[in-house]
Amino acid sequence: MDHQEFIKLYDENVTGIYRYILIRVSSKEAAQDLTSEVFLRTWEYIGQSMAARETAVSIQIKSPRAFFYRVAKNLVVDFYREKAKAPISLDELEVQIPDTENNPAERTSLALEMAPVQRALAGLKDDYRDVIIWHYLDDLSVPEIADVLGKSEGAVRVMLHRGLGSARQLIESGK
Amino acid sequence: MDEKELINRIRALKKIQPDEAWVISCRAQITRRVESAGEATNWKSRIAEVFSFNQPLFQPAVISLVAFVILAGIGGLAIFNAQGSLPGENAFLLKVFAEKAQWQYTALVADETAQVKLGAEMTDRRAQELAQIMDSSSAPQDDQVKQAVDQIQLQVASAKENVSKLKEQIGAQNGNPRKIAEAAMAVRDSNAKVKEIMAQAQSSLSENLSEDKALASKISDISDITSETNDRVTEIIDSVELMKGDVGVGEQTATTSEKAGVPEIETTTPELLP
Repeated sequence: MDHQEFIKLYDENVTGIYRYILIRVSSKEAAQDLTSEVFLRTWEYIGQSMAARETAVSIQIKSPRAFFYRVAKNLVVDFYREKAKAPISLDELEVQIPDTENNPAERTSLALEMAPVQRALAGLKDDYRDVIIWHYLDDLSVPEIADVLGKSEGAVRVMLHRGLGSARQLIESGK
Repeated sequence: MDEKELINRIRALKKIQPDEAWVISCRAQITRRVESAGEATNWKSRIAEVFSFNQPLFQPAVISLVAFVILAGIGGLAIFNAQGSLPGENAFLLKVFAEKAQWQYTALVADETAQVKLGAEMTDRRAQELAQIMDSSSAPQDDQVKQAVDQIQLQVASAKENVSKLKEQIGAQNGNPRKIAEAAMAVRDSNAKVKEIMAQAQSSLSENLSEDKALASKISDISDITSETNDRVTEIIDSVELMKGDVGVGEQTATTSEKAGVPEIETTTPELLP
């Protein structure tokens, strides 16, 4: 993988990675730091792998996108572990509003629309939340998600089904 | 709620997007790291990373303290001498650092419009630096040109974000509309200079740089960003004009009260005071 290929992967994946991390950590600054760390660490891994082989062999990662999400998931786990924080409570959740909406009325309307879904996602088990975000928001395929989690495709489908069921219950119960 | 509706509501979260300015600065940081990998340690790149806008070093409290220590230790002379430096030169990092300190100081003591105007000045300087590099009697170094373009890209992205904030202020009817319009026009003027100088630079790039796809992509980004920013500036100016038509913008006059249907309050004349 050469430099330009890697930068192209950055361009293609930065939004999804950032959004996933932001929904998980609920802090814009932390999400920015962790997102850049995802790409820097991936590049370091590629560099180390190339050095270990001692030849200029291009590194073929099975699915670069899945690799980025795997690194992102691990960084989120480390984030909570290092900060010794409990998973963010629903009351503390900062609803993320798209910055592209400049009109205050629009932003309020969006906040009202998105808040229940974000709260429901925050109330799910980590794995359920992750697979829902990856599949429905970031358009990762079931095989890619299976690659990220190291599980079977069948297991991922079950998690998606259960995750949606739990999310629906949370939204309907108003939690 | 059925599953389809739930999925649609989840997908609505796609509207959450990162700040464009951050995406660009993060990209620049990663590009520097990727391009320097495998080469001999490039101490200039390492220092550039330390001084990049993403680093905690640029948090307001830290920068104020560090700026004080540097200015007290090295003295204003070093900062002054760095003013003429260009991207790629050692002193340039000191120049950028001093500008960032000035930026943070302005944020503390002045309103947002002052900061936006300062940002426009900084964009002007970055454009002038590129022009100087290209006009230099000796052939410009490719690395210098790339760094100059990087700096311009960061600056115009920051300006775009600033103008968006000004537009929000106008929408929320905060701040002084006249000052907001002036700040927005300052950004538009600096973008015009950037466009002019980028066009000149593009026509005299070295053969290597002419074929550099990453550089071409950055130049195209800069053009797109400045166009979008100028559109927003136009919207701000139009809004301010509309407001002038409805109410005396920035004028606290009795005429305004009349128009609002509020009875005019007569001021007490000196003779009536006891």
